[in-house]
Amino acid sequence: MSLVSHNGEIREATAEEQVEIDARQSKAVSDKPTEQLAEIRKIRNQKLLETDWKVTSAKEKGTTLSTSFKNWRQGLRDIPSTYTTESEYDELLARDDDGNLTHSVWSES
Amino acid sequence: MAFIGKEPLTGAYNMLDNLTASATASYSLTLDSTAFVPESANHLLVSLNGSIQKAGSSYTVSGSTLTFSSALTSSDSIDFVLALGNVLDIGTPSDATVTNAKTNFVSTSSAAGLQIKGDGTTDGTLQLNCSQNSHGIKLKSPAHSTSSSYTLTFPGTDPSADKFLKTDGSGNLSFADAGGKLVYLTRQAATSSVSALYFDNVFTSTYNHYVCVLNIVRPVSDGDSFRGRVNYNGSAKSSAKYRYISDYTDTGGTRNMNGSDSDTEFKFADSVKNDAFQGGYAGVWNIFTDIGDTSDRCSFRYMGSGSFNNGSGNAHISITGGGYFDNGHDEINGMDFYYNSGNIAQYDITFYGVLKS
Repeated sequence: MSLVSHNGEIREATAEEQVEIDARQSKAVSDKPTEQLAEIRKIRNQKLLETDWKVTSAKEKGTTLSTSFKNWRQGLRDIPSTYTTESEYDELLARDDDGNLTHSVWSES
Repeated sequence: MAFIGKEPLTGAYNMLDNLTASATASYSLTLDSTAFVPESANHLLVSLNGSIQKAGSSYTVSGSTLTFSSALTSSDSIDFVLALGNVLDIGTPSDATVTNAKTNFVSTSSAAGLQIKGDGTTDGTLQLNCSQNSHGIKLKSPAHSTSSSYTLTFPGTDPSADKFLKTDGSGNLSFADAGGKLVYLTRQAATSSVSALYFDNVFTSTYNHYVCVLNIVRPVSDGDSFRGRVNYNGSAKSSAKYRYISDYTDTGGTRNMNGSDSDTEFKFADSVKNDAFQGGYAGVWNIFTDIGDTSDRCSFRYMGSGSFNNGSGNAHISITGGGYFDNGHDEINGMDFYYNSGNIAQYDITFYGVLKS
């Protein structure tokens, strides 16, 4: 039985509370991949947004974008289909000690 | 020699200094060369030329001056003047002999009824003892160096709970609320692991505005999501009426916005790190309730800011969020806090009520 703090008194959860705690924690496990993918999409969209100006500029000036740049952006768009497992999501969201994302898919070069 | 008759218990009997008769009626009374003022003529026994004189007719007394009914001559002899005691010169009573009934400290417009004196070094102190006289608390005068002379006049009204004494600048005291507007309500704090924190019956009709100080709420598992719900009399509200926004930015500049207008709980902060030094969520929230208000408005709103460390790394996250429970005028008087997938490792949450005036 889980412990809860009820108005400052630590006690065992009631049966009703335990059902709720168990449901919440099992839902967290089942929802984790979905929430991770949502977080990954959010980061992906931010990366694309940050480099959209390069595409617009090239279009306006009639210049060409490098193949590696275009491949990198395409790779970002393909993330949801390329990476599909929970362990792959963990790798995509991994950060170093400075908080920077470490997976190569996030790096342009 | 034994006293004949009833022995006087108190008195101050003194043979005054010798007087030398001369061609005058008035003489200064002294005791050990210091002016002596008897209570009245009847307090003196005067012998002149071998005869006891009658008080009030043969002589009178005014202050320290003894005046005979007629002028004497140098051939007269004032044999002695015996002072028979003064009413208030009662000597030194034995210890613990002055009982309550024997005291009567009357104050006047110019003097206090009782004065606790200093000894030249120690400031005057009044001690109130316990029933066994083994303990006592003291009221002490300010130091001589402060030149303090003021009067504190106690309130004429009975005190009510949680009031403090305040002055009006002239020493008139009254019972009043503390100067601050925050009133402590409740706190839960511990480092033991629990699955949830339940704050029941925190919100009352006494206040509409509350301040919730979350000193720390640290998860057991890195990256867990800090969440919560409102409750009424301990029963959590689980309808999909939670509307909120959590807006935070990490050190990389990435801005994250979480929000919902139909969730079954509030999500205060995602991915909170479990680290004793820099982990956990910390923040201050304003909460507004309207218990007792029957108008059609939502009964719980919060807005706050805080900070936490992303459990995925050392990205320092600041967060601002707010939301409300939008279920008409659903009564709310408490809150529950928990992490999404694991326990709370450490917590310290305090609620204060904000006085309306």
